[in-house]
Amino acid sequence: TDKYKNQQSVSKRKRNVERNVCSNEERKSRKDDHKLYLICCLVSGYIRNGWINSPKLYKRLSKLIPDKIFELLHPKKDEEMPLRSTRKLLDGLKKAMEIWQKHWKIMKNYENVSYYMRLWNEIREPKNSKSKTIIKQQFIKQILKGIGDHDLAAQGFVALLRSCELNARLVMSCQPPDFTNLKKSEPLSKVQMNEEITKFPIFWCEVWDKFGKKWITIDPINFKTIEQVRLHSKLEPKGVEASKRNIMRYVIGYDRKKGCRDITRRYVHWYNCKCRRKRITKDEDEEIWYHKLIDSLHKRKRTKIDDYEDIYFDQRDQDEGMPDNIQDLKTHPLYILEQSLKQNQILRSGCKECGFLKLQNKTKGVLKVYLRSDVIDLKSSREWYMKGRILKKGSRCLKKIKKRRFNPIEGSDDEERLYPYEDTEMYIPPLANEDGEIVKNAFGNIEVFTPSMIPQNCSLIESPVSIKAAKAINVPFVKAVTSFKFEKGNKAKPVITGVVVASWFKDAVISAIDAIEYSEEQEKRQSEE
Amino acid sequence: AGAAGGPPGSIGLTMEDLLALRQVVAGNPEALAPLLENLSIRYPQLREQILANPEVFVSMLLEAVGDNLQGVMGEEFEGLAGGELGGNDDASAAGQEQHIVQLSEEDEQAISRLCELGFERNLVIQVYFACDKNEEIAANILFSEYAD
Repeated sequence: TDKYKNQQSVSKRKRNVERNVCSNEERKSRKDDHKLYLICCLVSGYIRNGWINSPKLYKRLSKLIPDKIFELLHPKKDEEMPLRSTRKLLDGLKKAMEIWQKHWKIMKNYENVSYYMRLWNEIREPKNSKSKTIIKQQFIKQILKGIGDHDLAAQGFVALLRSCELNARLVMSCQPPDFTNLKKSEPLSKVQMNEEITKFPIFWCEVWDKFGKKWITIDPINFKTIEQVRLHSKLEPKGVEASKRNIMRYVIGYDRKKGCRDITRRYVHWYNCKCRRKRITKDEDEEIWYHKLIDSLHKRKRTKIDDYEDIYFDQRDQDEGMPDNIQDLKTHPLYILEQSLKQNQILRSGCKECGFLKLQNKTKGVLKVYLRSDVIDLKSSREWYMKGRILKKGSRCLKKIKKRRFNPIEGSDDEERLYPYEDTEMYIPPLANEDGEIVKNAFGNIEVFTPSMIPQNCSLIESPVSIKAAKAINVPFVKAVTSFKFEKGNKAKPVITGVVVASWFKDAVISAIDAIEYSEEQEKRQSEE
Repeated sequence: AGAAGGPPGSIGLTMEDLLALRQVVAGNPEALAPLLENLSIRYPQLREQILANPEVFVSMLLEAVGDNLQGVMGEEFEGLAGGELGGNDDASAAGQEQHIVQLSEEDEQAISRLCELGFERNLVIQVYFACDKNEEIAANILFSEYAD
């Protein structure tokens, strides 16, 4: 039996080694850390951008640019061929870049990972390093002297261009740890930054070209290049070594007026197909979270330039095209396969496929691909009611499905009819009468799933003692069901969290609640003594 | 409200820790991981609070202290001086600073005490204002961040 046991443990160990996947808790924790680091990265870029906006810096840097080049940077509009003006601007930028390369006297190497991505073991067991904290004064000094690492040199270049009154952005590719990496352990090795890893920059620059209505990309340090990104950017990391510590997911542009925009779309070719999966925004809730974060760092009003940029981004979404494999289609925000439709979804009647996917495997079949905008979400009348909506008269169900297991109210029907939003209208509950009496349902309650389900002349008061209070002062009330709790055995239990009373009784009930809570507290204290 | 945090939506961090965090976020990517680790041990609810209210955390980091000092010495006053002096190129940076910051006697004494600890006066003034004129915190930061 010993031998048997041994074998068992060996195979167990083997399985664990094969499944080098972290626990669920760790997965959640990595997601949280990803978000935490993302906040810090974004704020970091914001503060640096603020440092760049220093009049002292501008005053001194502007002297580096001779008048001739300044003129190139501000060409007159060529009415016949605006392209010629853009040409001049590009020419000026190239000269400015050369000046900056000469100005930067000492290019320091990165001492450690710096703003590149950290692996999970480096996050979990961080080592204290002897690194120094740069403050603004030092930052300005180093830029004026031309001493520092690649990041500082790129940031200084943004300052140089702003000193020439150009609308220049500081661009930062934020590198929070990768939450989609679920490996339990990674080989702990000494961090060795080499040229391959740092080949692609973290910081670079963009300049607004008012003639072409596009942002021009400049990487004055790493690739020493100027590009007008159409489909691909040189700055998108390629290669195994570079991708280890540089995954393009959140490219942020900070402008001179303290605007902050996510401009990842410009730099990542397969943004919707691939990159999306690595961004926290792939979940709807997280997308809201992310927008809240970006908004808190965006300190200016929307401009025409933002409109132009959005048009450009839309165009890039179009140009990216359809993915060529099932996996990428499954999570794609624009396209969907018919087989990926959920049970409660249908395609808009009469809509046509927008393309085909050739299957690579033996079947050699072809699947139709549809636009996600042609998908209609359906709900049963009960589900619509939970959203405060009821069916319009004469609406016909678009789809029938088998009844799902958790259903608040059981019926004899085991088929469920589903309806689209257009076939519903807002439910308007009947008003309370003069005496404050409210219409109850068959169970003697009132269902309040949305604020709109409270009768207009009534109020919802939520408190564990609200029923007691309403009874005590003898006003008409109805118990309010605000949600359902799902328990074992496919049963849904209504949850009563308060009462609905006519608005003119509201204050009375609230003061009764206060009184009850107060006396309960008193009793508790007395019994403790 | 939780034991470690004030009212809901608030993020509990002492001024000192907040300032340290801000400085690291702004100017020391290497120190970020150890500092966050340290803070999340000392403030068990911090991560949760930050993630629930990212916008509150962001405004704390941006508005707090850090820029007070840097703002006092840098942007605001520089901007002012620049405006007053117009295009006068001769004005040196140091001249501008002296020009503007008015120190009370109390401040002056605190600053010279901090200088006696062996720090450069310019740095001391910055940190002192960044800490909302709290001498003790300023000393702590000087020692932890700038002692060579």
